[in-house]
Amino acid sequence: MNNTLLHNQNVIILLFSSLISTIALAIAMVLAVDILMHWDVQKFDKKQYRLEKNSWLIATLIGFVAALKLIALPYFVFTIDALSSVVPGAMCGAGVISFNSYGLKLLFVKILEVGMLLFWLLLNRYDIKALYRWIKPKMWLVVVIFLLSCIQLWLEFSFFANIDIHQVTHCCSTLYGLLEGMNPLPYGLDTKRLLVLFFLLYALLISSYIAKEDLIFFIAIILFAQIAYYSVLYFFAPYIYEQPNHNCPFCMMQKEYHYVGYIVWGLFFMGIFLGVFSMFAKKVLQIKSQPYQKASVIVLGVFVILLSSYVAIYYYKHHTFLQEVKSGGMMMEM
Amino acid sequence: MRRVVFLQNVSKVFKDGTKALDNITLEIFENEIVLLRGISGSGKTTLLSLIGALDRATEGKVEVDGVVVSKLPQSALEEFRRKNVGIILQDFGLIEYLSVYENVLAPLIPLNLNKKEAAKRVQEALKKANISHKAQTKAAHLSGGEKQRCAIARAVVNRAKLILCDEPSANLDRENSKQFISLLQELHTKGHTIIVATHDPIFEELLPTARKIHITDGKIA
Repeated sequence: MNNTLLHNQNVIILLFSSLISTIALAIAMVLAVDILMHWDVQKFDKKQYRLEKNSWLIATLIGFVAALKLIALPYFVFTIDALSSVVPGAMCGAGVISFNSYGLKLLFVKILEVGMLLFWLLLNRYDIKALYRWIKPKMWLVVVIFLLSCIQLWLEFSFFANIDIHQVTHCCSTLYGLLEGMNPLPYGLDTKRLLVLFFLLYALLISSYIAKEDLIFFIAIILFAQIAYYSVLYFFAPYIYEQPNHNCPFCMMQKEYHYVGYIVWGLFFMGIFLGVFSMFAKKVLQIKSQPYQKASVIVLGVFVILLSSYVAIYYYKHHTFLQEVKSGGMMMEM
Repeated sequence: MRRVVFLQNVSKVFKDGTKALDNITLEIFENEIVLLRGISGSGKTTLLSLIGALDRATEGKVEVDGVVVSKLPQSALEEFRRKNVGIILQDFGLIEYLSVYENVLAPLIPLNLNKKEAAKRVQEALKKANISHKAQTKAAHLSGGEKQRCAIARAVVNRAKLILCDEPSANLDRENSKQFISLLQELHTKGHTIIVATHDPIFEELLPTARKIHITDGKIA
């Protein structure tokens, strides 16, 4: 264990916010277990009314934690980026987060937790309208979120406590760069096909939304999530950086690139979340999926336009595109 | 006759341990006028608050217009109140620096009605309460009787069928109280269900056919 980074102001804020969230969720979890054990909506006694009041308290606590986590997630990314100046070898957050085995797991758990909190709040909205129809699954979810928060707190502490600032880490070009002869894209795709698939899948999202084909929309959103991730890294990122071999998902969150990465990844995760939730809305909550599909299509539309604008601006400035050289997976100016 | 209000074994205990209502069971039907009688502190206002979805029971079922309001979450409770209940308070509860028109319009703002519909409803309510001629007068410049009529207009502007009045004559002289009661009778003839919590004998005197419910120490006597 190395304590150096545990004295860093940003790290202290992050750990403190995670601790506060976990405490709030622990309170929510205790109340949720009480509800799981004693809930009977048919009753009108003191105990049942107390449980109903507690369910609103849980909603308030979850709302508070969700707000805190929504701020803490980009702040975490900002922090690891800021720490790249003290961790040797790191040029951005990518190097810091890859310093030890905890980093990427931590980021994944953080994103998952924010997703689950937002999911809980949406579920709560419909549960209130349906007069506690979803109270039990909602309370089980509180227990799961609490456990996830404990894991997140442990991972966060372990991550920051195990960064040795005297040890050299990798830079993002090593982590996300393309080696000659290597193709990091899924399904054996090349960049051109990846891009075609990216736009086709978005078109499929729009058309399945218009045609009210929920299953096709769901399949399209899952595929789009994967293809869009790789498209950002291996096609659009070089246009954002204006460097043919720069594929880092973290550097775009730096001041140099006007922090656009926060918007890009924020739109990406929000759009995918809404799209996936639409299926849940239809199949489980038995409510209209269309409003969530619409929101997803709009959010991802902004995502697509924003990314495409970088290509357009690059072309406007340089009268050329960055084009992949297929044999090596490298990018160069055409 | 349709049941508008149903209370079953309702109790209300405040945080300091005061038991305001004790095991109340009560039914009120459509187009009834009900007088809740009792001395100050007997629990009349608490009972009105529970029926009006302003407060929650500690125990028991409160059903208004077929909706179990004692089970409604806070947001749903507010919405229910906005759409289904009109309330008239003893101190009128008007916003002094606003005109009569604006005071009556206020409850419609959260309903997001278009301007035309909102204006139509306000005019209708002002007419019902016989205060149209003072529409542009600021509430601060109204007499006690006029303020009460403005409060009536505000209570009926959401087209609520259930009107709750809490000591409505407390700040009125006898003449204005008579006019107020006559307005209540008019509302009654138009199909409203009216519940009045009062210890003023004028109501019993002028509304001899109204159903009287006596409350003592939080219990129906």
